Amino acid sequence: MTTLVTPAVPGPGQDPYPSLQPGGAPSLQPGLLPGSVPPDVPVAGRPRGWWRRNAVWLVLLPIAIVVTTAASSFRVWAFWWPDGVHYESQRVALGEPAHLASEYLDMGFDVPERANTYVLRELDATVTGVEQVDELPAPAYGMPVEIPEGSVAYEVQLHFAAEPRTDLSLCTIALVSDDGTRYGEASPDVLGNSNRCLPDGADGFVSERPEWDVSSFVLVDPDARIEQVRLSFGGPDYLAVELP
Amino acid sequence: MRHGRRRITWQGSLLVVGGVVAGCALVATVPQETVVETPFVVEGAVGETLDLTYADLTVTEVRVADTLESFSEAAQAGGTFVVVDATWRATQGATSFVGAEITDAQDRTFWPTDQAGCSTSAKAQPGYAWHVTYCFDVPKDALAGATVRLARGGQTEEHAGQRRDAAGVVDLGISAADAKELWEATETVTTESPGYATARAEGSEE
Repeated sequence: MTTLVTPAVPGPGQDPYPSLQPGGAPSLQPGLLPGSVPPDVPVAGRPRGWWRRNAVWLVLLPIAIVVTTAASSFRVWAFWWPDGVHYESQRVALGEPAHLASEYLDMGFDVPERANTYVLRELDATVTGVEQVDELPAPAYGMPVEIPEGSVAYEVQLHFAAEPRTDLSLCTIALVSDDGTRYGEASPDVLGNSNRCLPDGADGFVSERPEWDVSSFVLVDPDARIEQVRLSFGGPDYLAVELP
Repeated sequence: MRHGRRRITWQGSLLVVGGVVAGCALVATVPQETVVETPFVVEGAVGETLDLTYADLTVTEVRVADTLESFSEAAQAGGTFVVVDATWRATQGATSFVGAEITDAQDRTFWPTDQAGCSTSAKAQPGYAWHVTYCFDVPKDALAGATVRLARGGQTEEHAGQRRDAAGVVDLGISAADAKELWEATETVTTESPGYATARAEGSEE
């Protein structure tokens, strides 16, 4: 609230407002009566521009973008990253062993005491051979399978070493040709085997011995040039084995 | 910070009106739906192999039946069954082929039935041809000029699953005269389970 005080008329010999006109009130502009409220005095100089008026928000905007991006980045590891087999964790040559270590959530199907716990799967894997075969072996279960017309079959031989009771479910053995085509990446394989990293007919999805060999069979286009074997356990990482 | 009324300037008004006009012009003149969203339709005929980029598709045979039989079930058509035998040969990786529908001359669509061992979808990997039998129960007036549309993307929600992706459309080759004859015939088709295609069923390789 504004209180206007009209000063007393100065006495002789005492002039506290020497710059004022005689008889004029010190707080009033010329032409205003005592008790009037003076209008806002316009600010001198040029008005502030849009950038100056919004300087605070302009500074906060990039910070808000960074915070928003960080807040929603959980989608990368929650949805995008685990989906599919897309990350080459190691690359070795044919016959060269690779040490694989990855964590997974064990559901306890084969080892009940590991149910709902995160388990480190560690194993040494070696692709010892990849060669075309003329016929497929008899499967452990079901009828014999012939190589379909218009296809050729490859046998992929692998050697594994791991602690007994290592879980090998979701094992996928795929062949990749020079044009990027992925053969045999979905289970079951041509022999109806969904448990491809354990010997045919294995009971359960955990290993029983410290070392073992497996053969996996994959149907391939006759004109395909196979360049790589990919071994994975549900992804997203996989082992790439380069063929000579 | 400045408070109070904002001044409306002709520059600001022009900016807003101009922006709206430009946006409307962009939407009206650029055919966004046909360019961005329409599936890449590859047309062909029965026996012809279509390259859908992610797979080679061949419709090997088209039959019409009143009754379908499998080893465990028989199904009677409400109209008549159009039985479409096809082979899928995936060319990139393991693929699910979800889309299957028949479109008649009046643009009505009919989705497949899973009765009597018929398939409504398929899964295949590169390296082999996979034989599938689709069966569609259609009315009499849907036979002439009908086409079958097969793709990896589904046809629900106006082919939303096939946007920006290839779909094969094969003319079933049924004329009006054929349709009358096919409708009157009483045929029974014994369906086959999905499996590896033989050379006979795979059709011609272009």
